[in-house]
Amino acid sequence: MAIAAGVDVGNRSTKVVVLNDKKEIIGSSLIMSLDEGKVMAEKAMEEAIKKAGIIREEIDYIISTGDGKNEVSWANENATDFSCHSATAYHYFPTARNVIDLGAENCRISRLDAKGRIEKFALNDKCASGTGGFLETVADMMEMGVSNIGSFSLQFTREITLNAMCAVFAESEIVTEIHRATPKADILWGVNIAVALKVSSYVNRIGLIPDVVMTGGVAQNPGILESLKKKLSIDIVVPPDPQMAGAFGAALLALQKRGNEK
Amino acid sequence: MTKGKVIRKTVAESLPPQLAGLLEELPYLKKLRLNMDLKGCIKILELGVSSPVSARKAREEGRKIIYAAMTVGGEIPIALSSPAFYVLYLEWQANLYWGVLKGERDFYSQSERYGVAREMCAWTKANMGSVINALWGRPDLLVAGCGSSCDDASKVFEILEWMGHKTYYAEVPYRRNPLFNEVNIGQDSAKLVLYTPEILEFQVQEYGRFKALLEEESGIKITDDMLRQTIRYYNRARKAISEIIEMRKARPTPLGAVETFLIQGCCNYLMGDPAGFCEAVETMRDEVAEIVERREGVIDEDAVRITFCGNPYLDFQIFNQIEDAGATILGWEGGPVLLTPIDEEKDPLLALAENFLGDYPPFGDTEGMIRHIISKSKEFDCEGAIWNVQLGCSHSPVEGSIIQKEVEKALGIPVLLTFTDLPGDHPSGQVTTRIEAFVEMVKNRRMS
Repeated sequence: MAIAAGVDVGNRSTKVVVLNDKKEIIGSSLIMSLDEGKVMAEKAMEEAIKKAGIIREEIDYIISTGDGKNEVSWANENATDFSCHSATAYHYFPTARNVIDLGAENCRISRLDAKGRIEKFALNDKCASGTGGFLETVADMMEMGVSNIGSFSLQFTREITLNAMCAVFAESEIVTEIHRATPKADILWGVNIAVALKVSSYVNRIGLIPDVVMTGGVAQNPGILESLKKKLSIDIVVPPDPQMAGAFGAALLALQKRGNEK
Repeated sequence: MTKGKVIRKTVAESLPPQLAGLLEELPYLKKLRLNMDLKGCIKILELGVSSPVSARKAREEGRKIIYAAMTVGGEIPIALSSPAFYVLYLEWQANLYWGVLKGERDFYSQSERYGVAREMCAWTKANMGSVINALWGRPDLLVAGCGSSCDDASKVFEILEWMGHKTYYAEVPYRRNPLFNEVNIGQDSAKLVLYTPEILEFQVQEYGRFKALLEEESGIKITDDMLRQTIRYYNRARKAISEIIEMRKARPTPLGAVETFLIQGCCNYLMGDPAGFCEAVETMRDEVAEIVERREGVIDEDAVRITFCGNPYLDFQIFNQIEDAGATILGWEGGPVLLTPIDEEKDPLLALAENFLGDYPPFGDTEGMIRHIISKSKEFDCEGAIWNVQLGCSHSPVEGSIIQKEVEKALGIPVLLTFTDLPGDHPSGQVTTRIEAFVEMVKNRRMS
């Protein structure tokens, strides 16, 4: 039985997924990236294999991804976030043509062909708006947990417009709205729309083709998901546990690689 | 057949001990993967490092200092032909020496005191900073390409002229054939009418005007023999560089992209030392031939083949980033550089004008650039192209978006746009991410 693992060393968290040859998850872990990439990868791997009930030597192939992918010296190879998130999207939705991956500091858009291969891609420039990091800042300003702001924003009663596309300037606009006593849900929905506008500009660079899949931690935010659906005028599907999509995709690619090598 | 041997050397690994001082002089060099085992490479860098001393010596000998910028045509060869002048090409010499290799930042910001926007292209700001700081002595004459160059740069030279610097504006037509599209419909690329007789005549007159100015400034006539001697140097250098570029078709690629880019850029002004530069590139050519013979190289044989284009490039780490991602740069555009030979028999000014107008326009209309990129991509069987934009260069992202669409349509290969800033301590993560994804995507296309 082949076993493969994917390690995603992201900016905020490090994730590991271990798969058996039936592409079933037999172990996984998610820890916050509070230390060096190689240390976090090691800890996350230890936790995942413990859950899987295996030892490290039983893993046949490991692929690392994420901004810290090069820190994982024990991985057999590494792959880009684009490839890993696309592999996950294609695995769950074989009709996927656009993949929107919104992570802590990155917004990556891929366009896939019918076989799930990347045809085109785009990502955010030196700009944080539209990323999880920005939403965390907004949650802090609202004195709410980041996991709550999405569903709360859906209670909005009025659509306000935040003009600034820069995360830093958007913060000052949010402060102004707070001072005006604008309801929190309205402000948060305004943030969602601003993020959706930014993301849709990246999507438009490479062309919008259904089906559209959203991955990354921000895909867990129902407010962002709804606003994106509205701005793109299209349905968007989300795979299970979208925050793990990078690690899961890396594990899928590792399994495939292992199969090719045999 | 066994694969060739891949040897990748950093400067620190290959620099001979006796040249350790070079790293103190040019600390940024350490960040580059550049094979200093090559004697030709060392000679090029020594020419660059010694340029302030050479300029001072030239001044002591009674020669005048010319700073030229935004010109790739006949002006620099004409100036180099006169024994009365020491000529530097600012875009290259200033940025290569002070910015890219020495890592000095101050001279980029000097120009901000004179109202030049902080966001402006660093090359243009470096031009101004070099003049204000008189890095090679106060220039006696500035030569600024205008028209088909960069409007921002032209304005900077207007400021410098206003500050009291004698300035010559080299007029370069934006469109060499105003009826290009009408007369060239359906023509093979070899039969295109690139310029009109009127434009040729104008260019020859312009070169004559410049030559007359230099003669008046120095009291020394620039004869046809002097011009032909310089043309021969250009042809020697261009031939050696073209041979190196041709040899880079070998697998594995025998010479790194940084080295290849350096010699192309420096060729525009022969580093102010025509004989020394020719000797350096010919030495490098012979060394590359030996590397090919040994079947060695800097990157795996199955590397993705890339055409690199755009304007301008300040962070040479991007070339290493591309190679690290598993690609090799084979086709080139920009720099700027012309490598076609100049006629040694014709009237020299006519030969220089025909050579300039007949080559692709590194500045000017996008159509010529597109044609050049397509031609180079076909010649080197490139699987993708990368168009780089230096932060602050306002026209290159616009050109890039046109080129991206046209090249993708003509060749069916993807074109990536990258945006680079001034060089930092580490390669830019944003750029690395894009290049890695691009190379991975191109590799996947191989399987289609």
